[in-house]
Amino acid sequence: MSEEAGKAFVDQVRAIAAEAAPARPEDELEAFRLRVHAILSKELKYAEVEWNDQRDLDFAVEDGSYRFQFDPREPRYISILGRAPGRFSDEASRVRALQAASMTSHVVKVAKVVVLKVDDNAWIAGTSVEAVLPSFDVDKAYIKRLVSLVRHAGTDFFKRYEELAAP
Amino acid sequence: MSEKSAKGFVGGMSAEAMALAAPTPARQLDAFRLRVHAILSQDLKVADVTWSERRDLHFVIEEFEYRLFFDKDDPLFVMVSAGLYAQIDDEASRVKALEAASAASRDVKVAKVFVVPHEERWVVGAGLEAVLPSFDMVDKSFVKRWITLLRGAIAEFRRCYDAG
Repeated sequence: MSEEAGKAFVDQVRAIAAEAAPARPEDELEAFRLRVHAILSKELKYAEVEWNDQRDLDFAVEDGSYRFQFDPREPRYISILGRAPGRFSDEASRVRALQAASMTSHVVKVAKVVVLKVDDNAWIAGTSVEAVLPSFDVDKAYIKRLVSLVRHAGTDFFKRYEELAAP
Repeated sequence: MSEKSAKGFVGGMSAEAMALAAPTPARQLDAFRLRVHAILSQDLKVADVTWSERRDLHFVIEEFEYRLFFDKDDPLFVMVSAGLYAQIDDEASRVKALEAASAASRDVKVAKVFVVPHEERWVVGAGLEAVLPSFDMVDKSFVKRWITLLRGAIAEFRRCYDAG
């Protein structure tokens, strides 16, 4: 076998090995992003499904805006972020929001609610649902369930906040 | 064929069809319970993994007691709880704990920390919950990750509370 033919043979074996190698999560992430986009926009028919600068997905369901975040450093970690109703601008309402957030996080499945400072005198409540996926093999029903869980957390939070605020 | 034997034949066919039907999450739950028990006790070698009366799993790692709950009404939902591990008596500590719980829940992945009323006091708890796409996705590294995330949430809460 000539040197040239030997080199070609080695290159061919390398190419076959590369094709046969299992895909790494990092490589699969982009395909997963596109699949989630299709699930949100075509299968679930949510409105305003758009990519942001970080290649996360913003979308709207009824009156709420949500963000589906991907993590390039940990491709199998996903989160859906939302915002609960309300803006809290004094100490009493901030503490009530913290209490309602804690109670909701305790009671609802998977989702959590946190109170975030937006400026020196205002706080809002953020909702999220997160998952570390064992594989990228998720379907419409799974994504729909996650969105439903994060939406429910926002509703539950506001109900509890109003109950705490009631005289 | 008599009516009785026809009924028997149909009954037999129905039973066979049931046996051949694809397993549902509800039917798979008990096997999943046993698999998680094996992952904890044999693969991860966690000591004292025990069943509760409701067929949930209790186990201890270092100073924390954990409970892994299964939900027969929602079989693909699982929850690992670190239990209620701190009690708070006064209002200033309660507000500090609420702030720390919110900050920890914001900063850690998946797990959550909460402060809730319990009897006459307030208690802190931490949990991690998941809705699984399917049972066969859960393996040793997945369960280990859950526990690591939950321990991380407790550590982060303590750090935030002490810094608060």
